[in-house]
Amino acid sequence: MTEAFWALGRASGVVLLLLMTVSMLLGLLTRSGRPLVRLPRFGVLLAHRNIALLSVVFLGVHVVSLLLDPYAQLKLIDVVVPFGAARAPIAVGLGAVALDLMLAVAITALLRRRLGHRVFRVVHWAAYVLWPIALLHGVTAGSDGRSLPFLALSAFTATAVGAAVVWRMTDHFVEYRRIRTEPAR
Amino acid sequence: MNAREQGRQAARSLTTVLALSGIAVVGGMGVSLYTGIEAAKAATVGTGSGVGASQSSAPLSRSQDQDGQAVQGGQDDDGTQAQQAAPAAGSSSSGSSSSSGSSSSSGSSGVSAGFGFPQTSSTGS
Repeated sequence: MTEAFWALGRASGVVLLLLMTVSMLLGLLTRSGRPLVRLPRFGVLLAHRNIALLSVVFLGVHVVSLLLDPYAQLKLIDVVVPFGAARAPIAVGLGAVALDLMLAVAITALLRRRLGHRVFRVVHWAAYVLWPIALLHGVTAGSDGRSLPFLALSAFTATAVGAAVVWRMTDHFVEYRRIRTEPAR
Repeated sequence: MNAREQGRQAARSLTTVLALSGIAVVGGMGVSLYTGIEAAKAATVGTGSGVGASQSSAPLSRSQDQDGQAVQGGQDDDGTQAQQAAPAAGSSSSGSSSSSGSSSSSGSSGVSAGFGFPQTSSTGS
């Protein structure tokens, strides 16, 4: 039975990486103000929110399955407090950091109206740190971390997110920036 | 249906598709990994190494970490703390087993769960 939890933890971790990548890409697209094929601008934002929340659900499955797996030797405190785990403290600690950041980003996004746009935006920047930490956690802590398929998947997702972040830093990232900044004639 | 409703519907459909795909992948991959682990355990015990391989009930397939080193600790299936995790499958019966003489099992078990499942090997003599 413990192997079932282990298998569930591994599988949910892989899916979580994919969902986080899609959410990250849609978040960047939202910021650019561009539509996506058949999705209008507000639809991209809606999909970004939904997929981010879906990631939190899969994160819950990932954590609970590994907590129930006695071989992982994971305690509840190791999930939220980084670098104290009995087994692979650094690798598991990276996962704890990613989880804390993800919860912070999700909670501030849900409480955006109460907290204000500035707080939301500052905390939301943590997503740029969260994603690579989560990827590093997958590569270092995962049983599949150094297998060829997982490394290929990691390289693919890293390339996609890296390219999107580079695009984010270009002048033409925001669709209507030029129109907004051009002086009225 | 106006454009706003269509956009909302498209976003909802995308989320639903991703959610269902995620569940399907987790289910499929989970079952695949689980059956791989069970098959590896059965193969290791079956081909294995006589007395030594079955001495510990710690998950055999996880007796090695990514670097191939034996992992200490862990618990048995019945929840009791194992004194020591099973060493690399088959290696616990180092040398010839008293019950079966020299065992002829060698090579890897050849069972793979697809996604980087660590293969066990038994090279007893």
